[in-house]
Amino acid sequence: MADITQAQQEIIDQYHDEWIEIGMRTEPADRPGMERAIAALYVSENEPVPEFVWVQDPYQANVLINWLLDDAVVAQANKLAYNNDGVGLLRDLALYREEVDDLNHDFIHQHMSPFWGGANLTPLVNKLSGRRLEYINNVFYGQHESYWIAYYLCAQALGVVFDAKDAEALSMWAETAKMGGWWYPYDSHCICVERPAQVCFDMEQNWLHNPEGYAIEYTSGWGVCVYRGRTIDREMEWAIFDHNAITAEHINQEGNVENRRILLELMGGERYFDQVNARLVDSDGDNKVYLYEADTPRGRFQMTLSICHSTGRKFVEFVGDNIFPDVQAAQRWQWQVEHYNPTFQS
Amino acid sequence: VKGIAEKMDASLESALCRMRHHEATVTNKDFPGVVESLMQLDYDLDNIMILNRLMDKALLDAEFIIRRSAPPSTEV
Repeated sequence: MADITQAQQEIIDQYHDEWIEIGMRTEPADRPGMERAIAALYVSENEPVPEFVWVQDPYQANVLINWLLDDAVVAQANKLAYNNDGVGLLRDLALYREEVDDLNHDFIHQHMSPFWGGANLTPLVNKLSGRRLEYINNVFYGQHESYWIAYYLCAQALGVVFDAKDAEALSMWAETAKMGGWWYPYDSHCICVERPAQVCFDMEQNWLHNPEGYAIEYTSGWGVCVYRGRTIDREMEWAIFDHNAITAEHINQEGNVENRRILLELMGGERYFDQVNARLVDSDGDNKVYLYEADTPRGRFQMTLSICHSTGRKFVEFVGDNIFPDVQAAQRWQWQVEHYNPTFQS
Repeated sequence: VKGIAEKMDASLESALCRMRHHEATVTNKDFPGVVESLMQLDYDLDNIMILNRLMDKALLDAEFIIRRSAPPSTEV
């Protein structure tokens, strides 16, 4: 097989860097550019150019769509708007759908409009209110489509020639990705979403991660908490924002093993040990691994504390429901080996 | 009000299908040396896909998933 040339590798590297940057981009969308690019795609489908509506995050887009789709959501917002602030209201909208009983569109127009980035949606809502807006996976991801766009653009740059029509389509999709965030295309309107204001992506570990806030966050305040690549449930977000509020009780009562591990990491092993009065069972000083155990209302359990030789970072891990006599036995179980005897630890 | 993503997606899918086939044929024949690096590019850029997957999940957890299996809308 022929080797890759330096020029070819440079092209691939260039597309790699450029399109990861586009995918992670956090500055405000180029709204006119985005609208032009989407309009071109509408025209290529023989659809009339739509009216554009901009919102600040995908959640707002979904609230808007649901609002226009379902009177129950309107009524629900009506009820919640009395004692809630903007972001909280938007978050809660979808959660209490069942509790609604009355409708008041005017009230909602008055109270909800400011939450869509100050945009006056009343004309749109008046126009569409009472109609049903289709929502069956009707979304494209804008900048977050860059993963497939980059691949074909790069192949093109390397010399692969596509049919003219396909090349033109590829170019139009590339424009939408460069200009902004998600978009929801309807035959008369297109709902466009701004880019996130912050994306915390650990390129070395290849995962989203922010231990102290949203890993993806929009200017509206809506975001998604992700800890080492794992999405944190809304009910557990408080732990990300306030580590000090985590108690041993929270960890002991958490039924999900992954969540328990995350809570423990956020709280810190030493604080946890203090609160559960953990006692040392055995230690392997050479390898800096210690076995502790504690009694809780849920029974006795053990965990290991390992201290990284190079960074000094401490790792605490539960050992399931097992009770081990010493560190070696716990380590054998953790690493699933018959003999645990590392020649080097880092 | 009818969503047109499905229509756009259908056009895109057929274009992608042609491009995928063409790209694989041409690359293997004329630029065999780049296959591995191109695959690596593809793999690295999957990170971007993770973003929309995670946000989709968050929206799904907020019960918007109900809409995805909702009865067909009344077209206006």
